[in-house]
Amino acid sequence: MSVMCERCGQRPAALQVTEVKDGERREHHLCEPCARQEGALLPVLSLAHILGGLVPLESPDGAGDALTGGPSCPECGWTGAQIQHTGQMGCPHCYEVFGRWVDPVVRRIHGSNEHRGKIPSRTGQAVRRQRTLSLLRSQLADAVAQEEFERAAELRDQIRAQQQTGEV
Amino acid sequence: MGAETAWMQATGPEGDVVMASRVRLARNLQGIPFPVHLDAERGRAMTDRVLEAVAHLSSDWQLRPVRLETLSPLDRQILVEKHLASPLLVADPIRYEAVVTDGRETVSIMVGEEDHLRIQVLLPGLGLSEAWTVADRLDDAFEAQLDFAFDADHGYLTAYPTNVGTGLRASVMVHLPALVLTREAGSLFHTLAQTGVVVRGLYGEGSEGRGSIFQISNQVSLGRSEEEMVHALTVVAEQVVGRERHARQQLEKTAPVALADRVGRAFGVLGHARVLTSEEALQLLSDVQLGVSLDLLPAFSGATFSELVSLTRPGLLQRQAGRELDAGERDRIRADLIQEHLASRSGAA
Ligand SMILES: [Zn+2]
Ligand SMILES: [Zn+2]
Repeated sequence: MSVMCERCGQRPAALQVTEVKDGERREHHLCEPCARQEGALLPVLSLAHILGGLVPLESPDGAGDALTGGPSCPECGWTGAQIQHTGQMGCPHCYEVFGRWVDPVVRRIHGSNEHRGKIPSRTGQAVRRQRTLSLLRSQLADAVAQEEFERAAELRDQIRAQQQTGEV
Repeated sequence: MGAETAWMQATGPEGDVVMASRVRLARNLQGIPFPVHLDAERGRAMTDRVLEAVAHLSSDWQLRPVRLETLSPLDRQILVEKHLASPLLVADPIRYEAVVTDGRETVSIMVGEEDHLRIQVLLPGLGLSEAWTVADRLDDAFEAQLDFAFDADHGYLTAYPTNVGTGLRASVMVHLPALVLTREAGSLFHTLAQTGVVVRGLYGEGSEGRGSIFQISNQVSLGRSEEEMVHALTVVAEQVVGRERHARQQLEKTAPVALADRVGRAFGVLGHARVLTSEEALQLLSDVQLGVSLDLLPAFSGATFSELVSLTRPGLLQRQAGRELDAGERDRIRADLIQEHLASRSGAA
């Protein structure tokens, strides 16, 4: 990036920060050390803007396959450069398109890549079924291991029923 | 004080330290770009779709939608001061943004901020799990009508990858005058930061936290269930409450005269000043509230600490005065209004 930090003028700006003051949006370009000194901003900064430049977004396999030169989202047209600039995705589908670059960052931010919370009833139907199925399967394995064959038979019926609803 | 705003006017559990609790859920409609990438026309269609869903929700919620384009700049500012909207939502240019609130202003749904929906529940005192329960039910009700963007690994999909998963941010607003006076706040916040909890001053710049009022929130939204997150932050808040109470007792024990002098001076100035800037009022109110919590001073009459703090904000002050005020007038009217709520002890001094 060629923009210099507006605070020190010494280092190239690594982050773009949007500040809202008196009802107006202002863009700030800061280097990382200066961003850290802007204590109040930092909690928002370090996370919400991590995609904006703190973390070099190169693919895990390296080889100069940078996000900025990568694909754009076929649904919304958002580009890697725009992700880098704003720290935001363009649309829900972008998570699929830019997953190779973004998922490692997600893991770094949250310490996890696995959703363990609420599942919406409509758009999460398939996921709900999968969760129920994998739970039933592990219960079945337990039942078999414990030689509880009646229980195992029940569980097998439940699994079959779940799979059939899934096909409807 | 105008329309009811529960978190400001009521007190809740651990109310001597915790002013309010908030739970917010970020949600987005499937197949529609996030606001950062949404043109005005599709944005309006998104808002229309959300407000249509609001109209179909049970009337028990008592929800009232407002499109920001219909509000004056003052009314927009007041939404921010009441914590019903973020500064970002009301910042110009207004395109298709809306806010939906309920009768007690415990629920506020921001439409068209960073995400399509931000469902927020704000309660007085420490009540994160109660707030989550309400937010969860409201989310279910929306979910019956709207297709929220979701995938198995990321959970709810949000504009910023920092909010994916549950889309949940829980926060508490706390008053920590003793921890600030004893200079323990800094190291406490540092410790908290290492456990994935963010602390920031609610008023003014930097981390000193003018008026000793801070917001504590969770940083991580993916990898744990909502209940686990809410529980974890509740535990943190309880610890902070314990530390603050301990610091208050220490002050009383080790520096009783200095403490009584400080809160008494604040009481005196608030009771007799004719002109008060917002910064000064915030600090003095904070000191008086410390005195109140230790029974060194009589309680404010007819208003809570949170409510009086809101009088240091220009928008709510003008609402209370019933007209627009220039800066000089604001400082005079602020002094008058605050004095009314200290009346009970005038003459005792
Ligand atoms: Zn710099
Ligand atoms: Zn996209």
